[in-house]
Amino acid sequence: MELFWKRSIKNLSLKCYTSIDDLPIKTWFEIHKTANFLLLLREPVKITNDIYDEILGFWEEMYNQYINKFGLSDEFIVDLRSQMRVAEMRADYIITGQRHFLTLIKIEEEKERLHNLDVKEPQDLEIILAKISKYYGFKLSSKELTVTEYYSYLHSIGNGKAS
Amino acid sequence: MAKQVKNTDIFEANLFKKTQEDVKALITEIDNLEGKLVLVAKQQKEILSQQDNKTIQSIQRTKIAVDKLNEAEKLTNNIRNQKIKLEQNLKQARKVAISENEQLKLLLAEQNKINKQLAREKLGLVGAYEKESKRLILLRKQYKDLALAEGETSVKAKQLLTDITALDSKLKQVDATVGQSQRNVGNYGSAWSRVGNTLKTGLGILGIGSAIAVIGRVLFGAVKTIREFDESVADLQKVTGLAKKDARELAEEITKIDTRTSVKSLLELATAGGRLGLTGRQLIEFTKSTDKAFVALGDSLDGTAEEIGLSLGKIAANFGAEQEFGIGLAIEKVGSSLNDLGAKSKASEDAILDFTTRLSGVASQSGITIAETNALGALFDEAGISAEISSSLIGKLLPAIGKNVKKFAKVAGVDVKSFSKLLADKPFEALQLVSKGAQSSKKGLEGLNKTLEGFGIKGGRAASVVGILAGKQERLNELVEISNEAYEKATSLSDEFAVKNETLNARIEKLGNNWDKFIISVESGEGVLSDIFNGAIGGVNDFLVGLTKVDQALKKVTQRAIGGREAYLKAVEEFGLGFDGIASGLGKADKFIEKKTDEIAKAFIDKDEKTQRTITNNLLKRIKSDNKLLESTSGLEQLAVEKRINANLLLLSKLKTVRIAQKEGADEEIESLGKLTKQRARYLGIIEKQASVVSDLQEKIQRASIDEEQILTLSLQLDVEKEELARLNRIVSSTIEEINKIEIDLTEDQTQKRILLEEEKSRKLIEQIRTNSRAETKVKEELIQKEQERLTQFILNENINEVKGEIDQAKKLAEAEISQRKSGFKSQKEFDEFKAEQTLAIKRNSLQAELDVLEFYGREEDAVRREQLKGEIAELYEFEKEKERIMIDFLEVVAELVDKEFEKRIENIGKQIDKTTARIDQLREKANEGQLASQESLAFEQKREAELEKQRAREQKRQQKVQALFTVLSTFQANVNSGASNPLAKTFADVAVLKSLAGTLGSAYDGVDDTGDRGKVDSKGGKLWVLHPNEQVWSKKDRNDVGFRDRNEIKDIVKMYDNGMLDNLSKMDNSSNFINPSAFVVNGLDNNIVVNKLDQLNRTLKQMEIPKGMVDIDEVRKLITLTTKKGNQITKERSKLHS
Repeated sequence: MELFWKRSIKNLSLKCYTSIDDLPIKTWFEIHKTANFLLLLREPVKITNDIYDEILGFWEEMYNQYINKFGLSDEFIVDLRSQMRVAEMRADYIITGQRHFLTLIKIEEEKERLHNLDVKEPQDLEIILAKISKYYGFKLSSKELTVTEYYSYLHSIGNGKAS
Repeated sequence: MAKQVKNTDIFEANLFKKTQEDVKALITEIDNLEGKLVLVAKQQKEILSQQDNKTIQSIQRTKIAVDKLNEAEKLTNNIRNQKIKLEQNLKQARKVAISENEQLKLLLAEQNKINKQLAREKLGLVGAYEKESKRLILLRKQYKDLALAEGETSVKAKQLLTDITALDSKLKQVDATVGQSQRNVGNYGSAWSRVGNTLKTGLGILGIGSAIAVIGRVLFGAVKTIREFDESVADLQKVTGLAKKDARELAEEITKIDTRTSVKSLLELATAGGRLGLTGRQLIEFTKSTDKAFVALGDSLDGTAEEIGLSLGKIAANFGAEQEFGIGLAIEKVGSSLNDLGAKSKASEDAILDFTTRLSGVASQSGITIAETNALGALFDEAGISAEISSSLIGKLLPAIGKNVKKFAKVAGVDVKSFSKLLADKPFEALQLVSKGAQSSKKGLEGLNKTLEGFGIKGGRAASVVGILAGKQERLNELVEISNEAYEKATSLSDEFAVKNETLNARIEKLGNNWDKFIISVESGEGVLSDIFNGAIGGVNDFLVGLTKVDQALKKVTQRAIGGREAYLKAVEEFGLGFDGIASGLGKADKFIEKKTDEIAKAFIDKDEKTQRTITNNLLKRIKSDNKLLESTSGLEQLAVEKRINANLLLLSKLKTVRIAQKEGADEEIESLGKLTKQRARYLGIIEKQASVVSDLQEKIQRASIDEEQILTLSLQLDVEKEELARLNRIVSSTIEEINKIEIDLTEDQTQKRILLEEEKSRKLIEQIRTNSRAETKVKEELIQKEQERLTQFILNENINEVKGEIDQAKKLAEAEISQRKSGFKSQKEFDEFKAEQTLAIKRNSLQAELDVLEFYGREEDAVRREQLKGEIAELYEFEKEKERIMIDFLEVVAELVDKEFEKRIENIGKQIDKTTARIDQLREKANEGQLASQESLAFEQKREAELEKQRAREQKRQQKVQALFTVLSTFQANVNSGASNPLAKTFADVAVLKSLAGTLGSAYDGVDDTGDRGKVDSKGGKLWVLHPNEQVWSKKDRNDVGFRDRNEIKDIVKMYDNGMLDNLSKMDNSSNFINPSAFVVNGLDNNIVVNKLDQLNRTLKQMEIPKGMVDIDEVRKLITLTTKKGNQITKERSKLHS
């Protein structure tokens, strides 16, 4: 039995989703929702710390695939930069003790707050898919649709080239 | 012997040392922590700078760094706040610690001193105590032996028992004084336990418990005195009908009477006088006299001062003595009679007074005198008949005699006529005769009894009274003589008073009274003392609060042993809180005693030697009596007496110093003056003789007209004698000079001294001029006049210089005072401003004072100086005004600058908004053209535009606020300049008025289409409006010209015109489809057609196909953005991807 597990571990990549081309969009959404990376497993595996780290590695790899393929949104970059600016100002405040940094931080935070003011509660994947399906005129299944396909469809809508 | 425990073993001299060290250590720790946080910040900043955020790992590292810095900042803030707080506390603790530690050191030193003294006293005391205890045991043993051998009643046994009782009581007294636990020598454990208990109450630690207790005692005593005095004054006011102030003055006058009677009793006597209808001087006389009776007969009379006063007053009034002699003398006469009868008979003054009071109405009506009535009273009291019975019977008998003369003449055994005459002239003798007649025969007595029974008097009683009256005629006559003599002289009472008013007890009582009088005199109805007491009571209250805190603090100190360092720190902190109020209260009390003893010592200088001696003797007696009192008192009262002794000792030492100084100075001067005066008298005698010799010789020369040789001889002799006379005169005059010189030396005032010296010089000069035989009289007179003028001028100069010196002194004092007030200011700058202002005011006042003086004397030579002073004062005022003007100008300039700065900022924002608007327009156009990428930028710019608008609104609001602030400042400055009594309050009022006015005004800031109804400013219905820069105002006529269209309509039309739409529409020729200036006419178009066309255009636009939307998923931020576009309207919906 023990031997079986060892063998299995050797071929972990075979029992796990390692590419966004394979990973169903439903799982992608689910992992985002629950942070349960074990959902990436195609088959049951005995979980050790090393295995967990390896699965996490797969997830990170897939995320990088996503970034490389679809990129990060401008808003996200603006937001991240804003967070970085705030963090740098925090660092400056801690290092120099000059209190005017606190005011600048406050301003930046306020901007961020205004920026996110119109963000609404999440929509269900199925509803989004229904909207996209309606848009394209054919049904899209959350179980079958891979991450790459899903975002490709979405971006196709964005470019206004869908037919 | 147990180790002696010192205060310093329990309390460190510097209670705050440990606390301060701990706080310092804590601050160092915080610094270290802060240093570490800085390191973290640097590291994380480095990490942030290294991230490209192109991989999830990089983004994660960024996120972690962001989170860490977020946490680090929170921690830093927390730490820095803590540090600031600690530093502030440390600073405060240092400040408090310096003063508290000093105070504590002093208190500990004092406490140690007291403990040592206690220990020393105990050692001495216990030695004697043990000895006496052993003796007591021995005596008791001896007594038992003696009682068995000789019996308890034997003389020796009794004597021994007396000795035992005395010794026992002495030892018990010692026990009570020191406390039983201290009997054992060196039992420091027990002693310390007592000290420990004291410590628990806080007194031991402070070492000032006694002082507080004394203050309490003195305060409450003084308050009681004042309260009683006020009550008495109120009573006096009620019975006399005087105003409160007048009643108080009268009461103060009365308290000046030199008597042992307490102030309260004196005022009771005065109240009695008031009840009898006396006022003013009469009332004072009455009080003085009744007080004499009260003092002289006080121990023999029952009742309060008021009752006694009333009795004496009634007697004097009823018998008409008041009218005859005045109330004062009348009382003294009555009192003298009572006093002598009391002294020279077995009767008591109280019984006599009772009898006379009861009988006064009837007796006075019957014509019997006070002295006779008193004598009667004395007779009956001697015989053991109560005043009630005797006065009642005599009171009925006397009217009966008057009503039935015939019958009583018969009883008296005389004819009716002579009895009637006797009754009219000497009623007392008639009474005696009746009683004698009744006594002489059985029939007579029976007749009298019957007669009396007819008047409702029981026979038995009458017989006894009449029997005494008849049987003791001789004694009665003796008593009448004594009474009459005393009544006539009216000195007996004063003599007795003089004796009783100067006994030891009387002097002690007087000292007590003087204290009360002193308290009352200080109070003066103006609340002076109340203020002092309020301060001191406040101090005592604070002290009590302090004690409670100390107690709590001590409890907490014990917690320290268990490890509660914080509790200890808190306890120490609380411990310190009670001191301020106590110190202030104590300070006031000590200063008060110091000041008052100084005042008494100052007044003491002016008293004659005898009075000075009496005062010091009385003071000594008071101290001695207080020392005795000290033994019988305990607790707070004992501490109070102790304090009084100390105060009196202080006063005594000051008085002694005064006396010694006076004596030394006076002895010297008196000796010198005495010698000179004697010498002068001697010389004057010789001069007299010499003058007579000269006169004799002149006479002889005149007579010896024949013998020339004799004339020559006599002339020669005359010359010699004349020369001797001149020499003697010179000697005497030099002696006078010397006396004057001493007097001048005794003059303390330097100005007066100089004036006196100058007067002396002048006097000599005038004398020389007068005695100059060579000068003519006229010339002499001129010279004398000039000299007198010079002297007058000199005196004037000296006086002016003296006043100038005083002004200068006052100026320096005022300046010094200002320098001392530095502590009340928040900053050096604030103080400097205050100082400059005050110095200017002082200088101005000083110059003004000098000018006033010079103008008062009005000398010509001062004219230039006066003008100079006026100029300087005017300059100072001008400077003040200039300063005020500069201040207002400065405010205006600053306000303008600030305003401009705001304008500039708002203008810049406006420019940015314009640019943003332009960009928005461009982006909108692009978006309309289908470039969806422009959407994001468009949204960003719109947001930016909104932010800029907000910023502009904020700046405008700030500008308004700053403008308002400068308006308030200018108003305030103007109010200050106008010399308003409370410029700040006036400013508030002014600003409030302006604000309320401004609130009622219309404003076109946001634009307006119609200004509404008519106003009342002018005949055209004008009204006030607030306008802002670059606004446009249209007249009613202008509006009429555009058909009263509102601003939006007008703006639309203008837009249509600006983009050429109106022009194009008007020039389009439909038939030829080209632009024709006369198209309107050609087309025959009217407005309806244009409108139809526009509607058609709208419909077409609505039917146009709307471009598709866009979906964007932001997985990292977990956001989904749905963008849809319908016509020109773009809708962007963003929502979280996951919950």
